[in-house]
Amino acid sequence: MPPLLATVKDIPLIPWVALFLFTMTSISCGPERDFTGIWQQTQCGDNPDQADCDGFLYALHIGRYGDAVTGMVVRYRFDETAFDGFRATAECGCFLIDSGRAEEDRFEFRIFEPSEPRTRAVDGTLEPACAAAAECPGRRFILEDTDDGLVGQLVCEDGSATPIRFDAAIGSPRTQCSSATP
Amino acid sequence: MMRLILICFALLLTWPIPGRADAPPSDIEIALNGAPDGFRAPRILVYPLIDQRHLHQEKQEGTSAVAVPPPAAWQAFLETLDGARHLSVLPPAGTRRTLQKERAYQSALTLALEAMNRGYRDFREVRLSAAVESLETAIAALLALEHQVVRPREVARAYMTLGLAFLEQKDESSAEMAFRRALLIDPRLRLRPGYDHPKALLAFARARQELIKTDPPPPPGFSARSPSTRKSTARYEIRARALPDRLELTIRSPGGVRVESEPLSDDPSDDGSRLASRVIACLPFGSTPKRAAFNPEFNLDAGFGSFLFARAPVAAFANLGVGVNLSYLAAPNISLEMDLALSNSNRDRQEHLRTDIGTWRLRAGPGVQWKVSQIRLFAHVGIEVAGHSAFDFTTNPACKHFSPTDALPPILCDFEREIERNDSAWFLGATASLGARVSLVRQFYLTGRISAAGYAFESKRSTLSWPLGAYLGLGYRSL
Repeated sequence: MPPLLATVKDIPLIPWVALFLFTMTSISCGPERDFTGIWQQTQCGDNPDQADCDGFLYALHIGRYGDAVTGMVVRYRFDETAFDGFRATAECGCFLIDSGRAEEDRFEFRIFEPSEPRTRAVDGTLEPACAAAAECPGRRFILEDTDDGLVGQLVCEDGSATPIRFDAAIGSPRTQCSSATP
Repeated sequence: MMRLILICFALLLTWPIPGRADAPPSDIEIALNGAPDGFRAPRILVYPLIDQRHLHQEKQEGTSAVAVPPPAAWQAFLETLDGARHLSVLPPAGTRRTLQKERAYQSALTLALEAMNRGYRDFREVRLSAAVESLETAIAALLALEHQVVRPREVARAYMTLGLAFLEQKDESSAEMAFRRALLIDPRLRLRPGYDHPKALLAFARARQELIKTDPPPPPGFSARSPSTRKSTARYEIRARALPDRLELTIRSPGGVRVESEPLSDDPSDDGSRLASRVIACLPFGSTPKRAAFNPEFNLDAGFGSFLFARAPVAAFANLGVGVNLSYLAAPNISLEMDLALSNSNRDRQEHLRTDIGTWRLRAGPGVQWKVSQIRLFAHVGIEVAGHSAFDFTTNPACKHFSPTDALPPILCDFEREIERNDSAWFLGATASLGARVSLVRQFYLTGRISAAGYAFESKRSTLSWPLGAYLGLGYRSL
């Protein structure tokens, strides 16, 4: 039996097959799904040792679809002595993401109804600590994907911006505020 | 576009299939009606008649015996032979021209004539040994070129001079042999009484008498032992000589030599016709070129395919799947093809599609193909029946991420309004494809194809149409 390449040596077979496979795989490629997942806050403000923002920690539950970003932001009461800052018992309401846009390695979104955090309690009430929290309304997150996680700013309605950083966490993004699991 | 595809489809269906042409004509039909195009008739070279009756002619004019008209049977023979439509007959004049056109004839003739003239010069200057040597060399070269057919007198005169040189050397035996050979080539050749030497006249007369005492031997080129200077085996030679009582033909073919003779009667037309009939009977008939044997073949291949809908409610998305293709080569360039492809949709860039779309496509139709080296190029048109499963899509990212059970505010996503549901549907339309098969080893091949389809009928209004695709597969050719 003659060897394959000797038989078809005059035909540029391999380049054509490679072109076909490249075209097939290129068409088959879907959009990037970067940022999809859970991101937990590790720094707020210029001080790297300060993890919380006004006594709160945020976890981003992001879903990216092409150029759009959606999902929710879950808020936790900050307890300096707690081993896990993102435990379910520390949860203090959640917010829906609105108008999220992604572009290469950066994305931004704003919070839907930032002054009305949703609650995890079955009766719909907020815990006192959560209700007492003073936060800047009209929050907007502008984040960029770096080797150190998501780095960016938390922008309030009055235009003030606070540096903020998130690290990736394991798990699937939540889609419900009332879930007992972070 | 649709109209063009349908026109191509109709044209291919009515395309004449070469394999179904009429059967080739029989030998009798060819003999009666003439040969068809492409018929390979055997090539027959008829050499000029050598009329050996002139050996008996006593009267002469100058250096030639008084001419006797060629036998009428010879002319009748030529006419009958020329009428055989299945033979490619070259008459004597044409044979002379053909011999002169043969490769190297002119250059070799020049050398031979130079040797001959040198021999004549040596003879005149009585350098007899040199003359004999040069003339023998020249004669051998001239005979090899069959120059005795083109200009018999020239070769005969060389023999004559050779004979005279032998006589001067007192070698009468060799001289008479040279005279006999001169007379075999040109039976009308004579010496001139009162001009040539009496001894030469006597020797020449003895040579002529020797030839006519019984039947003269055939001239050079007639016998089976005559060397053939040609490598060509595709032609037949007819050499003729007239004797006082008969016409004798020598037929030289690649297979050997055959002699046919016909007594000369009072009916020369009948003599020539009968002789021609016998000659024609022993010549090959010729042949109609056979068409290359065509064997219908099946090609079965399977592989991977991808296509996208040129018209879709979302950006282009690939549908990846598997396919199987069966084609039947009905004639050298006509094939029928049928293939089935099953595929599943991939994500679109914005992930608007919320469910996978399963698609099946069945195509069938005729086509044409061409073989170029180890590649077979083909083009097909046909009918496509296809269908897809139900699918949902939305452009709202919140509707993609959340589900109705997530109690999302309607302002972010109204699941009832913002998710569009498309029912399953099936289509009927025309399709066209272009592709190639590359032979790999033995009967296995690699094949690639691009295709497009347009749907003229859909069972339900669908937002998907105009699939454009490509396919790559491995196949097996059954001969």
